[in-house]
Order: sequence, then C-alpha cells, then structure tokens
Amino acid sequence: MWNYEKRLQYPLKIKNPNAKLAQCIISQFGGPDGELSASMRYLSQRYTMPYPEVANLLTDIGTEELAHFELIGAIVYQLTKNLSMEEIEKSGFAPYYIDHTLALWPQAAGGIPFNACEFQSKGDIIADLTEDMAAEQKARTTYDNILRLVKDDPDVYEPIKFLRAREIVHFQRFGEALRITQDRLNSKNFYQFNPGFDRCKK
Amino acid sequence: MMSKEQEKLLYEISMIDFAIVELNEYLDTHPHDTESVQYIAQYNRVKHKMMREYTSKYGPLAVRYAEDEPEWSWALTPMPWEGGCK
Repeated sequence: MWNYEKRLQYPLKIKNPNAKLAQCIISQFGGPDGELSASMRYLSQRYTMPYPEVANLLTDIGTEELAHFELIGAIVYQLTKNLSMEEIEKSGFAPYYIDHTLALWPQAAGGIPFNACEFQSKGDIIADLTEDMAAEQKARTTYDNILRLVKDDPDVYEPIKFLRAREIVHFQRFGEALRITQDRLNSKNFYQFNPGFDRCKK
Repeated sequence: MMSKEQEKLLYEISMIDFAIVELNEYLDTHPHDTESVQYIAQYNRVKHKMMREYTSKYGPLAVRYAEDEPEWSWALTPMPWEGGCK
C-alpha cells in the first residue's frame, strides 16, 4: 500500500509560463521513457523477483518514480497555467488544448498516447534488470535533451537537473542488483535457469 | 501563499526526506552497511520531529500526522503544485 505526502520531491515555483516547453517536457509524464513508464515497469516487475533485495529496490525506486511523475506533472501544469488564447495559438499548443484544455494527460512530446508497450515485465530477472538499466539511461538522455531546451529558465532547469541525476543513481542501483543476482546464479552460465520460474532443487 | 518560514520548513523536510529516499535505495543493495543503517534511523527521527512541527503550524503533510482540530485541514490546504505562475 502507499501513503501520500502532500509536497513535491523538489521545490517548484515557475514564474514564466511556456506552452512550447510544456509540450516537450510532457514526454517525461507519459512518453516512452517517462516517469509513468518507469513506475509501472518497476512496480509490475517486482512480484516475480526471486530475491528480496531486488524486489525491495524495485518497490522503492518505483515509488520514487511516482513522485517524479507528480513533479513532471507539476512542471507542465505550471508552464501552462493561465495561458491566453493568443499564447495557445502561437505556441502550437492548440491541438493539445482541443482535447485536454489545460489538463494533464500522459502522452509523448510527439502526441503519441501513453502505452504499456513502452515497457516490459518479462519474468526473468536478468532480462528485467537489463531493461531497467537501459530505461534509466534512456530517461537520462531525454532529460539531457530537455536541459538543452530550458537553459534560459532556472525555475525549470534546476528540477530537471535533479531528475536527471536520479536516473544516474538508479542506473547504479540496478547495476548492483544485477551483480547481486549474478553472484547467486551459476557462474559458468547465468542463463542455466530462471530463478523466477524454474524450481531450485530442495 | 506560503510564508517564508513555512517555505523554509518545507524545504528542510524535503532535504531530510531526500536523504532518507537515497539511503533507503542504497541500503536495498547494501543491507549490511551498519553505518548507513544508523544514518537512516537518525534522519527518520529528525524527519518525524519536523513533520510534527509542520503539522502543528500549517496542517498535516500526511494523514497519519493529522491532529485533533476543529476542521479537517488536510482537505483545505492547497495541493503542492499550486504556487507557480500567477
């Protein structure tokens, strides 16, 4: 179960709305390497993780990703707050506005809706942890791309920089989880059996 | 609008909680690191104290901290994403 704390993980107070930027940053809300994908990936994979350290890590990182999902939502919300009709037309925000007004809806920067096919839950610890490491790197790249676009606004730059740094830490943690896993498998053949499916001899 | 004092306490809670989040993830893959276990216990105590102080001054940040009060301030305090562009 979960408990909610009514605060953002990183302080946020955006002074200047920017609908153009919001349309790019929304990719980390519902895009292929976004925070919704991240949290659903880890929180789905954890049930079949054979080792408690790894299942707990997926739970704790998956939980932090939910806080990132909230923070990205807050960034997009503040960037699009109180937009005038003129700003909506000029910034290219009109197509989004038609379907969602100023509400948050999980989609990629290119308008593609959120889709569970953007992540995997394979039931094999090596496959899943390798996917998780790649996911953290892809999210880091996305944040790098966003950072190049937001240089001029420290109100947006700083929280994005924070989120980018978290991807690097999570990549490290998943790497450690993979090492813990390999230490417990047959050192001559990691793939000899899948500890999430094949039964160990008692 | 939040007062400077409220903003400061909220910021300090965020910092302490970040240390807890980071240590917790680290401890998942290093559960035998006694020094870090002590650190997280200490930060947990500090956070608990700050959360109680915040609740008594500005209302609860989490339902489990809610206190006896004439009305349910949890429902009345603004959401955390409010406060940006005017």
